[in-house]
Amino acid sequence: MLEYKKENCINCGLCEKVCPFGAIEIKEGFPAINDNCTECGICAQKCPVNAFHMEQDKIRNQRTEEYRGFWVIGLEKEGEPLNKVTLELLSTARKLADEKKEKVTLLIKGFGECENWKREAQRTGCDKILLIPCEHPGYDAKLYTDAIECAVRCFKPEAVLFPATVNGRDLAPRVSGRIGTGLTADCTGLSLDENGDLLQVRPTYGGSVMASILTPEHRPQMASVRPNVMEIHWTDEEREIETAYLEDFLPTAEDRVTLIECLEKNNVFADLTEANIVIAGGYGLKNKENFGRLFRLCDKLNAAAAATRKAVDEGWAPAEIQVGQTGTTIAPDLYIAFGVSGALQHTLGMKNAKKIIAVNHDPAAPIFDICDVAILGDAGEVLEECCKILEHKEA
Amino acid sequence: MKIIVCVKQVPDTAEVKIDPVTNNLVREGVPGIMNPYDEAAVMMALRLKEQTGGTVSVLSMGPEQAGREIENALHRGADEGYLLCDRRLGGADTLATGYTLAETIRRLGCDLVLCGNEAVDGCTGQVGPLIGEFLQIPAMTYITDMKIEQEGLRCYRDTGKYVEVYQINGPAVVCISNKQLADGPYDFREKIPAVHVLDAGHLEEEKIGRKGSPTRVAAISARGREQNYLKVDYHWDCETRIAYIMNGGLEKKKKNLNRENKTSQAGLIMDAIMKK
Repeated sequence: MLEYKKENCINCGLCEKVCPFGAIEIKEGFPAINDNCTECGICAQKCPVNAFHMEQDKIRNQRTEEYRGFWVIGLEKEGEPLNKVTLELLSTARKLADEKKEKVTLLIKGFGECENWKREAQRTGCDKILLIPCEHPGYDAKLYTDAIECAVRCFKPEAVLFPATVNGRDLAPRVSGRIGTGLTADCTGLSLDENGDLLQVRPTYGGSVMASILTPEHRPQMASVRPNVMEIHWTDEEREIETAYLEDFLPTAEDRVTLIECLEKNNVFADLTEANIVIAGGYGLKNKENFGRLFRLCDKLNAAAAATRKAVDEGWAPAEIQVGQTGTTIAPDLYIAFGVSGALQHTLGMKNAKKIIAVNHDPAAPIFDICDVAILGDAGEVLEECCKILEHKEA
Repeated sequence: MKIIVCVKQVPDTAEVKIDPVTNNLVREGVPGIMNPYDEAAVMMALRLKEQTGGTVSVLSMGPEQAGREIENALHRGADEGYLLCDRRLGGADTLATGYTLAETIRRLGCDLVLCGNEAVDGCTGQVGPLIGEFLQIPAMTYITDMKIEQEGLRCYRDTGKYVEVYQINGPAVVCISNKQLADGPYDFREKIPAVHVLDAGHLEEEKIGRKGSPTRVAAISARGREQNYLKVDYHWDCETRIAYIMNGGLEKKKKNLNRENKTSQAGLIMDAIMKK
């Protein structure tokens, strides 16, 4: 039940503005609630003085048949192409939506034409792009949470998928708390069970246990999904894609937190999961100096650096760039391995690379069996030659 | 400044046992430790306290033995410890846990909440932002360092690509992702105050424990890592099977080893990169 306490009201009129259903009209300074009210509770959330009170049970979202369709949250900035992980999520959502003959919607922040997003999303079979109209340039947790809450309450999707990236993992729990529904983190598998509920599979206990999670009684079902796990499926089907704005949404950014500066990190260790070119080093590089060379090479070539577990254990490379069974899973277009023997633990994390070039001194190294170009030689020496060629080109 | 640090006791081993009947994790017999990220948060809180004065309280939800981790923090110099220990809290997912901790923090009152960015057992990273949401205050995740400046609290957030520097004014939840802070030096305090044990009396019963948890564990399997296992077909002959395993499940490609001199080998690699 929605309750209104006139004695608390300060006549600010915010409730009229935030109501997505036009159910509140300010009459003689005070809000009047009309029949359009769906008891969504947004006014109670937004009221600065708690003049609206919503019974908490109602705010926790019970399952109803109204909840339909699959949503993907995109965190791209305007003008950027869609991230790989967004396309992976759209493809996954398409597959699930097909089983139920439902629609796929991409919710993303932006103004303007967004023709590029439209074209890319369409190729994954997305039906609709819902734009959050807002000029705030970056990621703001409060703004996104408000927007997604507003969108979810208006359109009632049955499932919402977030990318399990740094910002996605920051945002998703805030939304789940706001809406009062379940959220499964870092899923590696999504399917529908016999009741049509979303079966969310995630690794836990450092990957030694796989848990299958359901959200049986609450809607929407929410999950964040790891990048590079799902596959992108392009469709040739000519499908209409609709774009719409999230109307009546008033963006307000978090004012208690200010971004003072944004320091670019050493690019070499950035965004391993999204990189097109990855240059990896293994135990065969023999020392830290060679890894320094590898990082400089990556930096100049705009590639991401990766390392095997053994190299990380030796202290030659930071743990965040470890690729393999324990570490990151990657799928770059080009993967170059210097002194990587190709142990199973490592190859499991890069086997989806499109092209593999390997340098190793051992003709029997297993990596030679799976690579596209096999180079027999001392990894450190060949790496040094690569640096020389680059220097020469620059000069 | 009054700081509350949330800590979780996690099992010390990767050898997790699962009860085949209830699908629940068997915690008995597995020694517990403080989640390393929470340990880092405790050390950060003590560092801030050293600079500004004030108090550090430690809050944990869990079984009786989780009190050990609170005592550990008290030995390092925390002022008070609270353990939320109640059967009704059992089976809580992140939403119910977030509500439980937030409501308790609201009662205890504080200027800053510190948490580990995630726990090493569940690895969800959800409880910190949920506490922020329930308390309606900002939550900062992936924070590697904090400094007290005149204008306010400064936080360094590592997003992988950038380090974002934020200034916070007013109360907030800060989630620490820098495990190395856990190894900082401290003076071991012999005499510590007793841990306050709280029950769930101040909480709404519909929102805690299993009842307050929207998610259900449908199944759990210890064989796990399925996508990282190879499915070997036992109809294959022995050689094929061995080759398949040795290749990490990848197709074996027939090719010639390039035995040219290192300069032309390097040229080959650079050409491939330049083409992309």
